[in-house]
Amino acid sequence: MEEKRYKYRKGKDVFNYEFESEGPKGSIVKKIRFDLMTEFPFLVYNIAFGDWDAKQEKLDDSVTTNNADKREVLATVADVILKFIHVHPDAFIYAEGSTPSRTRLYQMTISSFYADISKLLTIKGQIKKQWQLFRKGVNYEAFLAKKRK
Amino acid sequence: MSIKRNYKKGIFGGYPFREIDSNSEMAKKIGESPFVKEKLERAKESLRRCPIPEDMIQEMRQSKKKKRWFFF
Repeated sequence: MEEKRYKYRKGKDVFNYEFESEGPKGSIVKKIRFDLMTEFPFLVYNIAFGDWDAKQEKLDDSVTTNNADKREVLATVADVILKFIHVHPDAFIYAEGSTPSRTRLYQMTISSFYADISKLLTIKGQIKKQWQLFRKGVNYEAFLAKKRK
Repeated sequence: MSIKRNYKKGIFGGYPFREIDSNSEMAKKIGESPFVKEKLERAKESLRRCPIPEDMIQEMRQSKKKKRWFFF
């Protein structure tokens, strides 16, 4: 991936990452975390991504930041996902936005970097309670990814 | 207005990770927040209603078998 993206930092347990989005609205801390959903028969992690509200110490995935760096933010999220799956090759990653617009953001992330990430990941999208191979331009309700073997 | 951004180059490395939250206290706090809990429960429910497709499960099983052969 040759896209510009931000440097990110990871937490001690590799399930937490953060970086700063920088733009006209200043420096905004973004956090990405992976939460274990199930261990059996395989590890499945749910990804959560949003702005970090330091005052309330709260992760908020409903805000639209408009910091004029969407492309860089999406590239950074894609990079973190690739890093995570590289460390956890036997895990599935599940993504579902808390709102339809957040789900669209996940979809944009996948679509924008599909050429690169599809070489490394198998990605499926959920539509009407059915999983299908991810295709650009289709509006999915959730996403599932795993490392290609 | 020029904006200086903290870009990084390359994929998977070439830069040191700076560790945050070394005692994972903040991570625990976020994990216990209603937003994260709700989101996780919703995701679990969605996955129960629409489980991982069989072809992905088979692929994962095959790769685990291959790994076992590699190690023995």
